[in-house]
Amino acid sequence: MNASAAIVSESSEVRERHWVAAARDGDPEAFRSLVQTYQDRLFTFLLRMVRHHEEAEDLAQEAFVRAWRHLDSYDPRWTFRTWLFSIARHLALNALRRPRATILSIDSGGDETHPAPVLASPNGSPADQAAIREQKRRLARALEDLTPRAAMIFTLFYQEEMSIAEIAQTVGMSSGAVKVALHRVRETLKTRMRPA
Amino acid sequence: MECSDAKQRMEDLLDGDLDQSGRRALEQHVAQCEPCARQRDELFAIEQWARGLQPVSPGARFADRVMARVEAEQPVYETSTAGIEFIAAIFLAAAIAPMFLGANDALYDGVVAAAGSIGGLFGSVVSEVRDAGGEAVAGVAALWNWADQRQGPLSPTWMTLLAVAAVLAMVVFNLVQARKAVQRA
Repeated sequence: MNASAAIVSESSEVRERHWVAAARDGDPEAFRSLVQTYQDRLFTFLLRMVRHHEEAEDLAQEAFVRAWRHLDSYDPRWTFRTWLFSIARHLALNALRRPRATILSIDSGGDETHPAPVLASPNGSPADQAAIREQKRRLARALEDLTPRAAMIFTLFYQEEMSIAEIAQTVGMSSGAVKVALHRVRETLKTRMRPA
Repeated sequence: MECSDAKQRMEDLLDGDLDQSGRRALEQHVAQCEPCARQRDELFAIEQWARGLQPVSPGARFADRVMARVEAEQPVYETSTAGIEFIAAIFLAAAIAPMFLGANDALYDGVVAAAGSIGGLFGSVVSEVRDAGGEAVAGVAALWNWADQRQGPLSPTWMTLLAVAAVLAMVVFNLVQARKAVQRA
């Protein structure tokens, strides 16, 4: 992370600590700021686990409400993010244990769900570009087929950019188990990205 | 370096766990090993794709829906027995104060008789107050029993001050708790 990014990141952390403190004192607008900060990321985390848009939204709402309800018990030694995602993970795992309706597939066509990542070479031939698009589709489909646990770890590592230690704290696993799970995710994706 | 070691080091690199010397050794191996070079390219392509994924929005009004639920949350009343404590505090104050403030014997006898006739209710209230009100209530109750026997090292003036101070402290505590509950509502 360069110096400017580090300054921005530190400012964000200070701002977030202020919001958390204010929310703990009962300020709902401070809590709204936290919701707006984390809503997309938390929703995506849950969506990848439960693979149902409405259910993921319900769970995301419930996670925020529970966070509000239990702010008194929030331990500042954790980051707010770790605590919030831990609540969400607990809700998702409980939901997955219940009998569930048919899971709808998350759109893997590479549009709103997975906007084009930078895999394509800008100077590639049309055939190269087509091959890369196909590769992206296979990866997106592979992501949908990950188990909830694997999808959870994938999202925390790649989307949230959590360290192995922070992931371990969030999901209640050892760091070693997180690394093994992450390696398995990469193996799965590597296998699935190759043409059949 | 064996290919199995190189594969492990690639994973460590992606996990952020590979130091400079490990990186150099890995690069040297990959430069000379085509299968490992292909493996590296695949892993790096996955990394690039994964880190480029964007979060999905739950919708424009999501925060509003969350806040509607947050604002509809009922306050958690921290001391559910605060009302009982308050009543018990008044009762105890009424029972103790005349005794120490030199009220006439008839008034004192009347209060004691009332306390006795209420009997179990008084006992259960004091018990409830003790559970919820802590040390102050236990101290007042003990002082009440001791003062009833009118024995002890303290003069009536000190006994009065102690009893009133203890009761006032409990009353203030309960008023603060009640106020917090009202504010949350």
